[in-house]
Amino acid sequence: MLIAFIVLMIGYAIWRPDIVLNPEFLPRLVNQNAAVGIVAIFMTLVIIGGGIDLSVGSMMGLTASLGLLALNKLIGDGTSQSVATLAAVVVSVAVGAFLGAVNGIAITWGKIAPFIVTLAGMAAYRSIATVLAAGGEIRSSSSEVFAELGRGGLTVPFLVLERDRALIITWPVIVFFLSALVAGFLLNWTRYGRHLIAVGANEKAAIYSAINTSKVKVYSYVLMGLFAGAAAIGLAGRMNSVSTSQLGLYYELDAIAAVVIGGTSMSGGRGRIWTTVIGVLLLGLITNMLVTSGLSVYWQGAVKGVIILLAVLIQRGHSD
Amino acid sequence: MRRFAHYTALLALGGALLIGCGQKGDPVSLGQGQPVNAQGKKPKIAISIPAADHGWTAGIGWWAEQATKLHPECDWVIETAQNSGEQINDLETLASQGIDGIVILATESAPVTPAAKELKEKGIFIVNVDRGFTEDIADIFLEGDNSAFGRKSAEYIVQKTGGKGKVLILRGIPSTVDTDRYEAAMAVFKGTPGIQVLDAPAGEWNREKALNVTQAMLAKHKQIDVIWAADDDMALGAETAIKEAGRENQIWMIGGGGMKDVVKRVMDGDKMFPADITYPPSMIATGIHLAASSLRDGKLAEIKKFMPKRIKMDVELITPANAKDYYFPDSIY
Amino acid sequence: MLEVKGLVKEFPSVRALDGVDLDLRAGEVHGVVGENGAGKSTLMKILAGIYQADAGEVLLEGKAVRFRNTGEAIASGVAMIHQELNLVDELSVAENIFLGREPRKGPALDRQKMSVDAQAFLNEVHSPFGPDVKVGSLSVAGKQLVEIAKALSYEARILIMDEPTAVLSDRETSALFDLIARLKKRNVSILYISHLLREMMIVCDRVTVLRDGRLITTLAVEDTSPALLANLMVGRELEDYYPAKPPFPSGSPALSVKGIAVPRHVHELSFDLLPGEIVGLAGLVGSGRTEAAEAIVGLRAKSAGTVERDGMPIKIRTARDAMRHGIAYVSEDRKAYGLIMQMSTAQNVTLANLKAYANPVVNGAKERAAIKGWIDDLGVKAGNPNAQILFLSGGNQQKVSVAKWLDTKPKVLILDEPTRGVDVGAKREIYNLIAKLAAEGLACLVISSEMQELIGLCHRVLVVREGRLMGELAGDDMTEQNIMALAAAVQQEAA
Repeated sequence: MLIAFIVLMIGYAIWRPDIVLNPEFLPRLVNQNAAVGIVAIFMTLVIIGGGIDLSVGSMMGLTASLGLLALNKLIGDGTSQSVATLAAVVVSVAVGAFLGAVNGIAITWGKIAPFIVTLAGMAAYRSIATVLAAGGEIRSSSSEVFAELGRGGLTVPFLVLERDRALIITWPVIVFFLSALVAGFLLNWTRYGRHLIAVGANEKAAIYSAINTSKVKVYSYVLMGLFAGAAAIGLAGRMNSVSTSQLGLYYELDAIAAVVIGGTSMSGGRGRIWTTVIGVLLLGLITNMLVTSGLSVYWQGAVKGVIILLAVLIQRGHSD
Repeated sequence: MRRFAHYTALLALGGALLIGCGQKGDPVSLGQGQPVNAQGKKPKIAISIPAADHGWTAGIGWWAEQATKLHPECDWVIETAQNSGEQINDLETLASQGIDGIVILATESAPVTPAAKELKEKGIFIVNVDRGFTEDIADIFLEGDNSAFGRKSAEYIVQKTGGKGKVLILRGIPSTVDTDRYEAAMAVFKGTPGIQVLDAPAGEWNREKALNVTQAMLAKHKQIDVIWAADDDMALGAETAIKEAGRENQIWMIGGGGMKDVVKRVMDGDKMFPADITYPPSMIATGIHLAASSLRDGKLAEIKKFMPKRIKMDVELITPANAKDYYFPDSIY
Repeated sequence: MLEVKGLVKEFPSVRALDGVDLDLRAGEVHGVVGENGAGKSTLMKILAGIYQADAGEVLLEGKAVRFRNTGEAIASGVAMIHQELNLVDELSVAENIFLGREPRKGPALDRQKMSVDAQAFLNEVHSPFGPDVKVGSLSVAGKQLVEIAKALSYEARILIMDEPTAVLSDRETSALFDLIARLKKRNVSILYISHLLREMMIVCDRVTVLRDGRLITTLAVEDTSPALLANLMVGRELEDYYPAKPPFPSGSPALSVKGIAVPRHVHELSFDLLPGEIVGLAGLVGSGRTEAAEAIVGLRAKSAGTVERDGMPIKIRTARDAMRHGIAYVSEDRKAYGLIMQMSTAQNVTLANLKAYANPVVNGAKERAAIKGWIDDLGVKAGNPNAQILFLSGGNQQKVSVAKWLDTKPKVLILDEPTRGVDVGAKREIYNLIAKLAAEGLACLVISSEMQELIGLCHRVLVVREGRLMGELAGDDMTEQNIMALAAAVQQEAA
């Protein structure tokens, strides 16, 4: 997959060097795909554990909405923008973790298939989010601090881009990379990761090996929700508002596509984090190329679909 | 489905009527909630509209609720549909519930027409708003004009640039609304040799998508003078991209739909938003008001004699000069 | 009629058939006996077209045949009556008999003809039921009759019967023997597989003995006896095939099971297990052995009873509870429950006791040392311990599943069918391992269908039937006959 990404990148650079060789290109590509990337990374863990989370896109709409409502309430009460912004982040992340736990518990204790549970969540969470603003949007009343969640970040010293602007690694990108490190570490270097693989590969055998499979599964959904909450509040910051009907819409599908392109088995028990990261960037790159190409919007979906299938076929050729 | 606006003499008339009955109304019906129509009961009127999937449709829902509150002399049922399939189901269910009238904003014209026709055959009074049926079914059709939306905003660009400039187009999701606006705008641009349309990517009526797409376009095109966006939501997403690229002094935009934030910007003389196009979701309220006032007194036959069957709502150009007339700070859109 | 010459069949881990010869005469009932894994089933499956031989030939009435599937075998007149009967419960008897070749009248089914024809075959097997009843409503014996009628409808000249009486009552068994006698008169040849040597003496004309995939001998029943057959089956190695039993233990029980029950499977089962003791748990398939073990280690909910460790009552609800109390259970089904086939050999070894090496972060060096220790100790032949365990042979996989639990340092080890699907050499290593562990003080409970294995390995054997403890045998009382007598009601009367 990495090779496919590099080949595509080189091809793109030859075609449009003005775009690709611009030092802003790669940081922007990563920034645009950071939220989907965070979701895809933890979707990888969920899928390795033999599950799936279709609710995550809707969940993001809900966590960001509640985060923003908390922000506005606090600012309305006279709290400083920084404290209110921090509270918004905490609310979004906590609500995400809670909703993830709800998903996980329904799946384990409730013994309902993950597909069904999260399909229900997909409908319910979005619906609740739209109720909060009658389907419209929630505007942030902190245009300085809160908006920095999406746009601000760490400035890279000595690296100056066009128009004398320093390169900023935005918070969503930092969380994206952090997510990859955390998930990769969990998967490869901890007992939890080993157990997750065992549960996803053969749940019965995992039970027979004295693994608390319910706990393992619930944690994977909690992590998913927690980081989805973080990704969502970052997106809200970027827009400085939440469109309740749109924030996070179809993120679950983009994330699953990236996971699959990254070669993770949909049947569980096998998968990698770094290939998911590449999968996310590859999808982002393709989208970018399609937009740049000026290809009719009517055709873009078809091209994307074919590329996803191709990527999976190439991937299979490699792993078998 | 998307943006529309009327603001014609008709709206002024409708608005006056609306205020009129909101305040005075029929003293008997309002005061005691007595049955007032010929059958001796309150008329039951359904409202079938698209579900809130973005700002404009959310506005439709909001305005529908506001308008029904002004007409307690009727019983109201509001059904929202995610897509045309759901809307057809809604209409079929409503047909069996014994309603007297219905206000329909179709998700898509063609698929919903047969279901509406069945309602018509049952003698239900139909007010169709924005998107027309493919057959002549509606008793009153309040027609939105997406082509005018595209044409007027494009003409504004031609006028303001003096017929010379590089234009980026942001389209919505492929649909009739999107096509009508886009093609009307393109017709204007093609007739103006000095205007160069750079690209027409899809922002999918979505602020975040519009942001990402605009970023790609800003990288691709070193010079962009104007962005024509098929709605205000996408224009706001594009604005974020422009600001992040530091090109806010080189590019201005025109979206459309009469979103209150954008109207406010026009009113305040913001350089990036010199104008906007109306297509306000309050048109649903006009339709609701027309349905209520036609049915509540049991004098439908008389009213039909003078009520026009088809009312085309023009779209207006909002400029700093007239913006305050289109600014509704309480609206959710 | 049918002649088999030098048949060879290899599976990835074991050579199941190693040059077997056999001849079946017309109208003969020919018994085939051998221990589990001796190659009986493989031989039958090749004859029925389920497997294909790697070498050797099969001659049917003098002509070489090679069945690529069961359809070809049936077309040549060879039909197999499976242990698990292959019938569609939802269809009628007639529909099952003519499945896939229903008589037609134009495009429609000719139900009347189908019924009439089916009745004819049912008459031949003296069926007590008609052609129109649903197969699902029949008893196992009834279904067996349908299978035989179906075989006859194909004009089968050779019937292969795999343990046909295992699921039958006494009366049903004698009815089957009557039917076999009638089929013989019609010149149908029958290959008859069974564990029950006495049955062989009644029903067969000749008996072929297989051991470890090789032909030992073929004898006329007049020239043999159950005892002789048993010796031939086990072979001269009987003496040193099993390790010396560790000294008979004494002391207080490491594990006491008191009246445990699992609805429908286990009823008030009680027994003790001393440290250093090897106890066998015998019983037919479906007797509740596995269910009892799973209930003890918390893999199955028990409706009554208690478990005590070293005299202390303990609560066990999950396999984790059992592990904490030093009780380990090695499942009978390695592929489904025992191991995670997608994981590596190394990762399987430490899976149950992972906390010792990863709490929560994996200590690579410590884990590698433990894995190497077990691989060396148990003689696991794994080229690369980091390769998928899927590629190991059955015996090596079994050692890993034992290692996985030994790594949890248990005081009580329950082994369910520890030598199933394992070749002879590895079997011996596993027996030696069990004896060594017991000598070190581990209390072992061995569940097995191989009676010889239990007799050779255990201090005493508990026999269960229908979830109840039927008796306990020790010392010289541990014989196949005695175990069988307790394990199955039918054989009790026969013995």
